[in-house]
Amino acid sequence: MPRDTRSSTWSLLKRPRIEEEVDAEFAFHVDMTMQMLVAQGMSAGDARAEAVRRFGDIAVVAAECLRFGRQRDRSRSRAEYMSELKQDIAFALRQLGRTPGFAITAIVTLALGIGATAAVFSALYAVVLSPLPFANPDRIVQFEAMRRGSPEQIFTGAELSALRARTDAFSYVAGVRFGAGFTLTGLDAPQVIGGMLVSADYFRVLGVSPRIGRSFVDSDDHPGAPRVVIMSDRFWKKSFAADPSIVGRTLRFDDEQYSVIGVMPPEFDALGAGNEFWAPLRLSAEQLASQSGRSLSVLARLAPGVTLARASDAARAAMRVAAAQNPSASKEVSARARRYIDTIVGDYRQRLFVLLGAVGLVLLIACVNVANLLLARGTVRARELAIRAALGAGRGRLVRQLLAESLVLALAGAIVGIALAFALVKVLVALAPSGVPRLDHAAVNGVVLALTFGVAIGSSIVIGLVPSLRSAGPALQTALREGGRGSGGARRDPLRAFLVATEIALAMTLLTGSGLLIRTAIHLQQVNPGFRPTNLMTARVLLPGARYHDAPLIAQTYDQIRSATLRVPGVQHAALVSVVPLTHNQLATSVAPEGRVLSADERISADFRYASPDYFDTMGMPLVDGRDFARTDDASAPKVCIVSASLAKKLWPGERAVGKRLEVMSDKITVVGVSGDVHDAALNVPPSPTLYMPYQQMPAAMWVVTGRSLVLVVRTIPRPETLLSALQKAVMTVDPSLPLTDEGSMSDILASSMAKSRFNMMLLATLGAIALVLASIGVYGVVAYFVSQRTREIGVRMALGAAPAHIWRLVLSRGLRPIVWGAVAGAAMSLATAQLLREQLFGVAPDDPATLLMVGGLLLAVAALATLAPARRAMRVTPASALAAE
Amino acid sequence: MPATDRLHGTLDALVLKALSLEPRHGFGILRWIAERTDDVVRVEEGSLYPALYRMERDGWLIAEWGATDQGRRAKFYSITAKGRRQLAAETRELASFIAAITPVLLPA
Repeated sequence: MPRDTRSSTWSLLKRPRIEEEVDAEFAFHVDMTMQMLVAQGMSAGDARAEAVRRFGDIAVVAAECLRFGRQRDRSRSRAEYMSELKQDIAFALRQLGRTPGFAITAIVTLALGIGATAAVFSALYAVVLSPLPFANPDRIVQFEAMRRGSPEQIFTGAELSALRARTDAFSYVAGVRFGAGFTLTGLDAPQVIGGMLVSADYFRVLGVSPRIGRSFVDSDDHPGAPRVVIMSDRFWKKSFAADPSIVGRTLRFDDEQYSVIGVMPPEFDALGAGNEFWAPLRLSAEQLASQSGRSLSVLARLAPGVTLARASDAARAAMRVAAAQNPSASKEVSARARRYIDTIVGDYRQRLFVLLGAVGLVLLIACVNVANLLLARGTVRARELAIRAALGAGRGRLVRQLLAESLVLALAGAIVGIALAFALVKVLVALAPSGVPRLDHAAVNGVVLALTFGVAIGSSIVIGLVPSLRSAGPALQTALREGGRGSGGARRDPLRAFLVATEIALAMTLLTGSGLLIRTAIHLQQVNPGFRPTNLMTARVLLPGARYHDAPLIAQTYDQIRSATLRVPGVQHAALVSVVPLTHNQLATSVAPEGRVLSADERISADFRYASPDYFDTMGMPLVDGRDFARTDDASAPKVCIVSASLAKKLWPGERAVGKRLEVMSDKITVVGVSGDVHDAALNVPPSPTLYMPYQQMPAAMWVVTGRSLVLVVRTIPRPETLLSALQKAVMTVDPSLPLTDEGSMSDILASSMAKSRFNMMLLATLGAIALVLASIGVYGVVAYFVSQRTREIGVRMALGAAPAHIWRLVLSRGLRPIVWGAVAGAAMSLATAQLLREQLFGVAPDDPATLLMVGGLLLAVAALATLAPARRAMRVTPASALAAE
Repeated sequence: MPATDRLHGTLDALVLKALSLEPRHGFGILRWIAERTDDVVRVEEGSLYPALYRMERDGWLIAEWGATDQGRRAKFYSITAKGRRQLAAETRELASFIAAITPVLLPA
């Protein structure tokens, strides 16, 4: 029975080392056992030996006790730390509650920075970082061929077969025809749904199985096999109300019966809208051996242990094997395997990382601002801290207490920021240009939350460490001596000036970036696309293959559609074309002037499209030479074409093109006209040389490649949207089962082609504006603080006869000096970081001096404005008020 | 339940029981167990001390240095609320264990 366990308070203050504890305890035990044994009559020596023996291997026992003891001590010190932290946080909360204005300013500032970061990271995560919904997505590759110097992702049947033969490198290889559109009839109204035609191995490549039903098997993938289809979860829910008995049902696609064999899981919807069904490619043996007509994308799953480099080697070898079967095909095809995720994400990776960098800068500015506020408080609170130090609080404890304050601020900022992020993500998704892959899945998820809190804790260290180290530093004594005016630190305050300069530099960097993008947008606006986009309506018409299989019937039907369209009141011109500009669907081929053999280097590549008569007038494109297509340029007439001005110049430099003949796709055709150039790929890309051919002369094989579809282009007198239903009716007079799809005005197509760069510009400009506001708040804070600290000095100076202009200069120079330094540093940083935007710029260089000057001027003007209010206050100081403030 | 756990559990239960009446040092715990079981159960020092340190780490016991009746410094253990809950649980399990094996090993 212990007499007094409390008397040993020394154990609380100075805990014995664990080794001593175990030794002492064991020694006591041995002594007690010995006493007992001696009392039973044993000799002292024997009793001792026996007492020790009873421990067994005493070293092992002691080691085990030590291990448990150390674990105990560790968890104890953790608990102690937590309880102190709890005290610190409670204290910090009380302190912040006492100065709500400061707390709110700081929290809102941080919430802006943290919220914007979280929102942009959500988008980045959804688009770039989140794994694809496939098994081991890193092992899936897509092949890319380099032909005529530009990368291309389509291959021939022979190339697919050659890749498939490389079982050493690829476990599965699948051909895919993306962007297939089928007309589904038999439901409410005929509708065109998008999907893919795929090899039976496609789902094995991706490593995904249907949620209900079965996957494709090899026997589905032959020309004579019964037709089967697998649909997306989205389409199943939307059009069939998630009917579980869908498997086995028969649907009419393009007038053919397809039986539904499966529904993909919902994660698979991440492939994007427009991927609603999958049907087997059903390539024939001849098609699989054919080296002409590239129309297949090829995906593969790497065999175990195969690297990307080895996969690319295997792909190159396969290309050579395929080329060897066809001596006339070009030999120098290079190929490589790219990770599938990279081909999906494309250049959004770079864009989003730039954006994340920009948001990071805003966050940094917000942190610097709050650090500055804390620093100001630190000086005011120097006296309080000095007293606490005098009462025995260690420096470490003081620093920790101040850090707890910034931690509380940052976490509060993070909570408000996350609420903000939920809203911002919605705005971001709504405003983003269509077609950003996977963006619709952006959400504030667990990963984003974890990152946000990580960022908040990081921020609290950034904003807390500098001021707290200084507040708790050796200046404490001075603070006590100076009676709490705390002016010792304020008179010369290089640290705060440095922080302001940092803010300005960061803001300048951001503003330069947005300035460059704004100028890019202005330049793009001024580019002449090569056609008149206003009052132009476009809509795609697809002729189902089951009924429209021969070329003359197809051509005749389209001619009827065009005539019917022309009869609609309000239609001025109507034409047909295989692909409209700015829609990324160009087909390209190589062309040569008749009779000239071009070496591989001289090969001329041209986009080609098929058009109807009146296409150029409809589009508002000038014909600079020769004639337009006529209805008589049909299958029975000699083959003709129209070349764009840039193609004419490449084919026959300095000569007249009209009347000459060119060789294309093993055909010789006569040039009858020359058209103006069109910015086909994008406004910021130079016009590509283009070859136009009359659609009546389109070979039957080409109708298959284009899916028997053409785009109807209509120039209207009223606003194009108003004629849409009349156009649909006109088309239905030709065949009531033909729907119009992809309908839209050319102005919209033009606008959406610029949407990406507009979107980036808008985001960066918004961030730049936030940065500007935050930075000017920072400047204002510093100058206002300077004035308030020096009210007395200013009063004395005025009493001694200093002119107000002198005071004005004093205050302004005080405020402006760090701003100028910041602007200089910011200019240097801008020059470095603007390089990251290089690919997004058009018509303006990353180091554009005009942008830099404009941004610098704007920043200086705003910052000067921010110093103005405190400077005016300084001028109103009277000697009397200065003394009263004492 | 594996046999080692059962052994651990029994030792733990005995030690906790010893401490449930009053705080004791390690030697006192051994003596108490020996006396209460008429020297049938002899807990080894080599098992007792690691168990004590382990239970202290887990918060079932707390230890404090104090003085014995003879005025010697010794480490006294006392049971915590968590320890008492553990004791109750161990006792329950032990009872059901014995109830389960008794008809097997000692058929009536």
